[in-house]
Amino acid sequence: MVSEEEKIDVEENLEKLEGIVEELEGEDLELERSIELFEEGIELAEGIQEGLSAAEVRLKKVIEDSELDLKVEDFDI
Amino acid sequence: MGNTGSNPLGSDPGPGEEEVYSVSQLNKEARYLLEKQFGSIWVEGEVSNLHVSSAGHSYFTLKEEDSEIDAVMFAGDASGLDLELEDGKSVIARGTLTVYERRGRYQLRVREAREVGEGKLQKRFQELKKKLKQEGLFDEEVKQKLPAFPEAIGIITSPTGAAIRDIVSTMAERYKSVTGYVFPVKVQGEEAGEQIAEALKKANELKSELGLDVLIVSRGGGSLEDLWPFNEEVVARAIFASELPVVSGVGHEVDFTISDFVADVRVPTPTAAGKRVVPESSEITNKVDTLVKRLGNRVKAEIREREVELDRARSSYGFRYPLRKLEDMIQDYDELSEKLLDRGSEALGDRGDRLENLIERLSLANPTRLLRKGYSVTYGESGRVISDPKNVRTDESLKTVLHKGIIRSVVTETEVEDGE
Repeated sequence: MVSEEEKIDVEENLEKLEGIVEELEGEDLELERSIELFEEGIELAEGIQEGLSAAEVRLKKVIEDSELDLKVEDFDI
Repeated sequence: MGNTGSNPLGSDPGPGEEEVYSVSQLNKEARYLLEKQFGSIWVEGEVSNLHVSSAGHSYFTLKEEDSEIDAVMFAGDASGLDLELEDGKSVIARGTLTVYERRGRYQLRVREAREVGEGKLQKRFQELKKKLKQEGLFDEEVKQKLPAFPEAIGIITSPTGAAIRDIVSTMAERYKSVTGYVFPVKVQGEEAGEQIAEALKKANELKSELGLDVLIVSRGGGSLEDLWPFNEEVVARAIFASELPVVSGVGHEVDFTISDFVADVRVPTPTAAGKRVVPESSEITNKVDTLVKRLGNRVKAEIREREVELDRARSSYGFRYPLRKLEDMIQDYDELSEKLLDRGSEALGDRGDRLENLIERLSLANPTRLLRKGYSVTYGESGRVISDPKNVRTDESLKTVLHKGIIRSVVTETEVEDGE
């Protein structure tokens, strides 16, 4: 019943990315750390993009079957 | 004759001394009396024999089982009417009782009319609203915030109405990374209220199983009676009990229902509900673009800074051993850049183009390139990059990383530049 693929938490990624940009813009970072942060930031940005890249809103219908158990079906409007 | 029997003329002495009305006079007086006696009144009845003249005046009868009265509504009054007069429709009409003198018929001159039942529903609405308000169901403090980035949205509405289409298409225009779980219910008629309340309960039970973040209760426009289920107490209680935040979008802009007052967020229409529950993807993308740009600018600035430092410190030390760590790091960086470039605009759309651009510019400042050009990086004993001679002491061992290896050296003397 729970969705197949693992979901990307857009909100969390966005917050992390903001944190990283702030850290990177802070004082006195070593090059190594800067690049590390840069890499991390790009990955997060990609993650967000991926999270937003769904082709279409998915629609399901929650209904009761004959035994009054709830089941989830694909739904089209 | 001595007869006490009636004289055929005796009890009805004829006009004699008494006043004789003309027909028009009588009608006039009757009209005066009726109008004066009744004034403006409300009459309930069923419309029948409706005839609308070419001038737009409506002639009809108001009737109940075994009684009826003629009625007329003139075009000017009819144009301001909310409801459509129809044969068989029960109405409450306000007007004056009068006489149509030309025919001597008395009739109701109707000024306004309402559908029967509407008044009662209005009253029930006001009473319930007052009661629930007093109980605190509408309090701002108990209202929940909507999640900024919902993943799953429960939509409680008719699966076949216009509302579900409006909600989903509006959502999809803004944001697609979301699943809509439709809980099909009736949205008008007897059972609707119970079904809506039950669906609210069910959706809350399935909250974690489906990962629901927010619920919408909605239907399109209709008469007060059509919207009535959303004014039922059972629905109001279920919305109030919902752990998931609830958005209510019922009818048109002008319609307010009890469920609107109890819900965490009231929106005017189903379309507005779809808009309200999801963020705008393009806004997020723009935000991410800005952040990535800041990220890139910062790294470029860092590298540029070092370029200047290295330029100053450049010397002709030899080299032998590669420093794995930095090289690995540089390689990772290269790979990442290439990876991003590979995907390019195809996967990332417009943003991809911009990203590609950014990465290209970044790679111009790639540390590998700098090292290749003969720049180097010097580390102190603590492992820190040395960018200022003040940070080393005499006899400290240094490690200098070049393009193809490292140099180990010992500090014999430092010189600090002026004007730093």
